[in-house]
Amino acid sequence: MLSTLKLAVKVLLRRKFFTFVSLFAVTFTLLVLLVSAAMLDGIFGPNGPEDRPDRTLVVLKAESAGKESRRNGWAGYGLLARTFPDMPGVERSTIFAEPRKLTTYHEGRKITVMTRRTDGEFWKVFRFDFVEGGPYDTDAEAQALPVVVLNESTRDRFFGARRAVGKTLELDGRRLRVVGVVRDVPSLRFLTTADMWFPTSLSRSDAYKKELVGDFAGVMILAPGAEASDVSAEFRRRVATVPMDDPRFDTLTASAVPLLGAVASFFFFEQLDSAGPTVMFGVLWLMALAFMALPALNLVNLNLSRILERAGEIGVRKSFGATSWTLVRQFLMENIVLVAIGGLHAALATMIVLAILNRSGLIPYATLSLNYRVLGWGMLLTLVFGIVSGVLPAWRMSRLHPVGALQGRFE
Amino acid sequence: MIRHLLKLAWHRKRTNALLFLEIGASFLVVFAVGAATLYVGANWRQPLGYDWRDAWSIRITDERMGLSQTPEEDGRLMARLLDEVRRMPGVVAAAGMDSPPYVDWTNTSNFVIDGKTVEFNSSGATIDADRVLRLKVIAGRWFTREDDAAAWLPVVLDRDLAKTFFGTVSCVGKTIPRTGGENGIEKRVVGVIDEFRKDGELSRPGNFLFQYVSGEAKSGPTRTDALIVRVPPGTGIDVEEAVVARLRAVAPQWSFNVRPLEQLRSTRFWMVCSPIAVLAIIAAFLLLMVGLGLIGVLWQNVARRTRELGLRRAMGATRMGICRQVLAELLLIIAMAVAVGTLLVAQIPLFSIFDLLPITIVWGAIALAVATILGIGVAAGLYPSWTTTRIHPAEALHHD
Repeated sequence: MLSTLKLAVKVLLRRKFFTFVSLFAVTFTLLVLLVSAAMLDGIFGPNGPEDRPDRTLVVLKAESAGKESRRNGWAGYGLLARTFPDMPGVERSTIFAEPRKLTTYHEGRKITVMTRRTDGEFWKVFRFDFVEGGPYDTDAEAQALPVVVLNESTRDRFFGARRAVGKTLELDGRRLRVVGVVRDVPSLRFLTTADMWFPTSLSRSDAYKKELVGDFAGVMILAPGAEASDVSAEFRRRVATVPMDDPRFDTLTASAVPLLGAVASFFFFEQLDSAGPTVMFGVLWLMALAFMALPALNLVNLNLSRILERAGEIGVRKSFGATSWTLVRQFLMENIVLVAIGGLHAALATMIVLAILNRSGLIPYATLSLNYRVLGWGMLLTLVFGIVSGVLPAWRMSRLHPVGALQGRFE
Repeated sequence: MIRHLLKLAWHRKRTNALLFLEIGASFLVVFAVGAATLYVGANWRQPLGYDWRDAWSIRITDERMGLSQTPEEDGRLMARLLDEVRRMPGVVAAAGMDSPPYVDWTNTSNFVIDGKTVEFNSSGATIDADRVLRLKVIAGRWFTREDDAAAWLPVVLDRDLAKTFFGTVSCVGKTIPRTGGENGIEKRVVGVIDEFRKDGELSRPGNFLFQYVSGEAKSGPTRTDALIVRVPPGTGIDVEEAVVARLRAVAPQWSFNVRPLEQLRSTRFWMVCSPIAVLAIIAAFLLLMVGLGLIGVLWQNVARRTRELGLRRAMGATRMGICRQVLAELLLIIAMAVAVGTLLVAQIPLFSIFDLLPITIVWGAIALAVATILGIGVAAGLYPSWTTTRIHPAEALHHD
């Protein structure tokens, strides 16, 4: 093993130009893949406020349909409020709105914020890091207290970097009192992200309480040991019993799906929530392989053209009894060493690219990083790339005829 | 000469097949990026149809989702809002419009006329919207108060839709096909405007229809989802704040969100251009990689064939002749890969789902891709083929 490694490094050092070209290709390819992996980790990884992904069921979409018209969108508050209470097997549940952009004029400046209306349970279902103050609770929501929770960046925009709890701000014609400030939630966490959160009951009218299709989502945290499929089934049964008040519609559909499926259907295809993350990961792997194809071809061509260099060596090894299989293993190993060195460079480059991305504000509040999950994916991708780009040349080399190879005839 | 080269290439078909694949794939990459860029560039040169400078879109959000207020009440409130805004100092003109330019919501309709599907975007609009957006009316007129009395729904078409429906822009007074009768309100054309590309300069030209909105009208919707306002150049944030305060005072149950069209426009640009830019950067690196790889492959090939090339030198071939031969062999493979790639992408215009990509753009992108790939091939081939000129026949024949 060690001798193979030594040999690989020696081979790499022999022709610097080729090593450089190969390393450049490998580094760039893995850089693109690693940055994509970091983005996916930002979307799906368990590093957001949704900290219990395997116990989380989400109701995102609802549709009411009749003979002639249909209405679909996010779920309505009315639908969720009628189906969620006392659900067996559910520890906690929350109902909250999709984000809405509001503008406000503060000391002669215009400030645009993403706002989200929530109930008090929202703060117990999701884990937020409070830097000052705390959340509002269910009572505050029931009494429609004019309170608001800000994220850090929004606090800084309104009040500078000073303590904000107890201060008030004007939003959409209402004056709200700040009760808490949380750390920024990356905008990739679409279920929870916002600049401001305030009680649902502060809406201008309570018509939202009747809506079956609207702009709300519901999340349930399963009790330990409860089966997600049982809760989903019970939810579907309850949806079927919700009375329809609009004569145009006669059926109502909504489903409670696991967190990963809900996120996948939001970011990629709607159909994914039922097919589940397996299909999505399959599609992503296919995309990654398709992207690898051109760089791999490039590397294969380069390696194949270098058979000549090794002909003498191969001839000698074969004459002394090395099997084709040994040689395949050796050449494959050499390629994997090369790709691994490229992978190291790619990891460093990825850190730089991610730091730039985070600072640029392209993705609000992004905290993309090369954490151990992304690194793990990166190592797997590196291995796959090394094998894909190394197998064919290794096989070709190992099949050289010893006599021909020793004489310098190699085709 | 070419037959001879083909023979040489065929002898090394296994190696060349992979090179061929690599070059073909690069060709497709350049084609994709080129087509996207050319598509956006071609759209940019088309007329826009309105003036986005010094204008705002104010989105109205009704938290009641229209559950508790009648259309008549909505219409009266809307009319009061517009009156108030028009009277404010620092406002040149104001109107209502469901989908102002650059916003990310719109209403799309499909009509099947004579077996062909006509797709168009539409928006409700009030009087004065032409003044706010500086629309150019080329036939008939924009909506006026006299439309309130009409027994049908007055509509204004853009040039594209007028041509699609009637084949001519002089269609004032005509009824839109498939409206009226038993299945709905008759829609009658009162005017035609030059062009209206709601999604901005980078979107492709398309059909657009405005329908009349007024609280006083006998039929049709009574209010729009947004207001549009024109202000004098250099208007500050204080006017914006005052306008919003006035709107809130008149309609406390509605929520208002002001966005200058200029800001919506740059958001649009960003959303269209940034994916293309990312693709282009990745493609550029891929091509650099392919170019470097080609240099390496050719270099090795030439080194491997020292004996063969030396023999040719010994038989009297000139240095330039050998150099040309090596380059020509490479160009032959590139030409074949490019030809197959062209055949592949030339199928695109045949699929009707891709009719958004006009043939001129497909050919433009093919030309761009051919030129790029040939350029890279020649650049990559120069050095390795030059090394052949250093081959000394006598030494080459001793080689290995």
